[in-house]
Amino acid sequence: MTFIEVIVLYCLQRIKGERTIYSVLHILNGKKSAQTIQDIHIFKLKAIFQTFPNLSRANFDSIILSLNKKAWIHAGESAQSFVIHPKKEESLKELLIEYPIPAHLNGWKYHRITVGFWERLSLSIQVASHLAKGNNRYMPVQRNIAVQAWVKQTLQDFSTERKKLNEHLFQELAACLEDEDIYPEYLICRLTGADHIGLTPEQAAADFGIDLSYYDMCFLSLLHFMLQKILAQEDKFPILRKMILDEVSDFILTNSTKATYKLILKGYSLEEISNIRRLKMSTIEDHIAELVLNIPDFSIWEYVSKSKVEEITKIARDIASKSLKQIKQQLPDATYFEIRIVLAKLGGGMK
Amino acid sequence: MNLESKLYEFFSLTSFRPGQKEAITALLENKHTLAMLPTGTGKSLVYQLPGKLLKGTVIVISPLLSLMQDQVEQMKMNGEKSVVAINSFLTWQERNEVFKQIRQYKFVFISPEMISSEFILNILKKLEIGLFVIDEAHCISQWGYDFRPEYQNLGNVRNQLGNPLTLALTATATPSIRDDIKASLSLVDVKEVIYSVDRPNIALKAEMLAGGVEKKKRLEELTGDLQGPGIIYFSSKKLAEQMAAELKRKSGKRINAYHGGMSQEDRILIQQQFLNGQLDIVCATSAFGMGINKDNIRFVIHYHFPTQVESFLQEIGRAGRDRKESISILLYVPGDEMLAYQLIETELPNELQLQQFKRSLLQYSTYDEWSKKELTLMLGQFSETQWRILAANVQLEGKLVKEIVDKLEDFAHYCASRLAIKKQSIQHMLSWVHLKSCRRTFFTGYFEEAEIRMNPVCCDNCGFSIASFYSKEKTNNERIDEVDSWKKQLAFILNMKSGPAYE
Repeated sequence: MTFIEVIVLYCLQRIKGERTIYSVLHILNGKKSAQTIQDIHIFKLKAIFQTFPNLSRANFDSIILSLNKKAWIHAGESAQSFVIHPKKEESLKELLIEYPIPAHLNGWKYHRITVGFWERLSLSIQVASHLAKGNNRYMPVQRNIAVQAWVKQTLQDFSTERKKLNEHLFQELAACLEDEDIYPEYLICRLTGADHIGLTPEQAAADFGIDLSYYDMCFLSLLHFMLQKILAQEDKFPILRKMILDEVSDFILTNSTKATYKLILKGYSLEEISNIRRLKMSTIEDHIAELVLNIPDFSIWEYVSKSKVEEITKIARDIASKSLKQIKQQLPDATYFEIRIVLAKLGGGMK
Repeated sequence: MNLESKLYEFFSLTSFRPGQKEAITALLENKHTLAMLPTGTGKSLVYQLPGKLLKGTVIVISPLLSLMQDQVEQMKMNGEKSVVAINSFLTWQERNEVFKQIRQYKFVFISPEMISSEFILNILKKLEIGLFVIDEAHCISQWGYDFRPEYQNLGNVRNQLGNPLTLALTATATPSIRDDIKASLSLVDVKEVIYSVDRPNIALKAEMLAGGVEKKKRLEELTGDLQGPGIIYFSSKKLAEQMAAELKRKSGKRINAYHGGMSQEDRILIQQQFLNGQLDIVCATSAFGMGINKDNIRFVIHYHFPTQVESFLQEIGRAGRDRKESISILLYVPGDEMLAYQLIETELPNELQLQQFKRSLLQYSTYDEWSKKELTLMLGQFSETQWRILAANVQLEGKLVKEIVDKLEDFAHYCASRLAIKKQSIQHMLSWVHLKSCRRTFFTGYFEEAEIRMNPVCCDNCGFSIASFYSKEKTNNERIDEVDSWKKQLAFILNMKSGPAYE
């Protein structure tokens, strides 16, 4: 059993056949559609959002196939849905104790800044190490021109002696990674310096004797741990803080949603926004759902009546389902949009 | 001018490698130059040094994206700031930025497709071009194995740029291909700097094995016995990966795969680990090796049947750049060449596919009408490479079916002749494997070179002892001790002066 199979089972267990299996793929890939964003909130799968950005549909299909073959799952009621075999619920629980989902994983919160942080961190460490050695000829481990330019610029701004950058980085990294909860080796083994080249994820997983997908997730979780700690204590980590892109305040919204939000704040109605922005009404509705999910005090009263909110809430709890279709069947005069934003609000409230 | 002092000033090198000085001198005397220098002799220096001394921009045409990226990174690493690669890796915006500041760059690397675009050519026309370089110039020849249709336009491009001083570079080209290069570029009065393809310090061996099982077993033995570092070439990514894992387990040596399917970040790491002595052996596809400057590679093994003499020589040429004794071993099982034959047949569209395409086209009057209804279906009948070559040669868009059908005739002939050339290349390689006489003389004969002096260690047919290539001592360069605490490891990576403070 590979860890990625465990993760897929974990997701299928959460969504209980109320979405197609591909909603799970979209979550693992980190697809930024309104539907996926809503799903991770409703089914409480925010942590694993975009944990496997490169998982292909073909590979995902073969995972489903193999799980089905091993009788972990069976086809659900609606098309393209699968649910966990009731007898296997207990085994899954045990698997998740053996391979716990890393505690600090927070895909939804940090997905936009994680890769950039790693690229800047790994290149800065390499540069600092070579500077200390007085060596200026080497192959950069990151080829992204923007990242290289960033490191160059940051070095120019670095006030103290450049040769000492390695010491500063060491102090900050040592302080950041000093924590009982984590296993810094997962990160250290990947780092490249003047006299030592870091490992690839495959090599690291093999060295630690763990499954590659599990290693990937632990590594990601470690980066998320660092991001969280650095952002919480900015003064303690001046250099590491610089490696984090400055969009923390609003990084959760997509750009198009941001534009819609600005118009809402100016008091325009959804129809007006749809006209101004020349976007379909359904797109604007997607934006509202995203806003509800991400802005805790975003009011939905303008878009759905209080009585309907109560009814939808009740039905959702009674039938213990978050399937739009099932709720709609019970409550024909509510629109899908109304049901969506109420569910989004409920999901948000359960945070 | 004292070239040696310039060499030291710009590159901190104290002496030229064979052929470099001659070619550079010719260029500085304003002579068009065709230089054939074997792999591993630092071809890029031949344009880098004159680039430093000549006025104007140096334009370098390079056929492979990955090669281009490697060269640019390496030049940057050596302190050359004003170098840029214009290729499809750049976004549209990045490309515009580069064009705005094009005058700032001394070295501009560009793919043959890009330089053929009128828009780009017009920008380059405004520059003063000091040197026009065609790397891998043998790709220009229809008769060569590596022919690239995009290269055919380079004569025209050169003409439009006002026939600047030109350097054509190649590692392997027979005399007839060299003639073709000169003709395509309309180069008259050319200085030719030709060095032997022979690398005297590399012993040559081909081993015949009864079957796949024996071949694998033999590879395991060699992996265990031979003194590293070494490269083992495979024909497929999957095989390279599987064998890397298996050989690592069985030999206990530090072995990893390398192929084009890996992420760029991983490829850089594996390459650097190998350079840094953290890996003993790399199991690779042909994607590995270009742009790798590792001096002390002691062996190169081919596990698959090479499709041509030229690429085989380039690959084995990665061994022994330090001029110390090294060995090349080709493992052969009768029938191995079948895979090579199959490979070339899937590269070019065959008669049957072209007929099918033609029949389908004839139901419509224009290509655009046809493509709306039939394109998706037809694409299933071709491999990606096949369709790309077809589209590049026949230029379908906006054409009448009648025009295309005419062109398809020519194209079918073209494919047939390409196939024949490629089949011949495989046959050359095959006769080399079955050779009973000196393997080295075969190569120099193939390139029509004069007789060479015999080496003490030549080839298996001349006789040598493979035992002299076995490892003398167990190597273990593990620099990071795994039992060290993570802080100690971090301190080592960051090059801290060791001390109790970091433990």
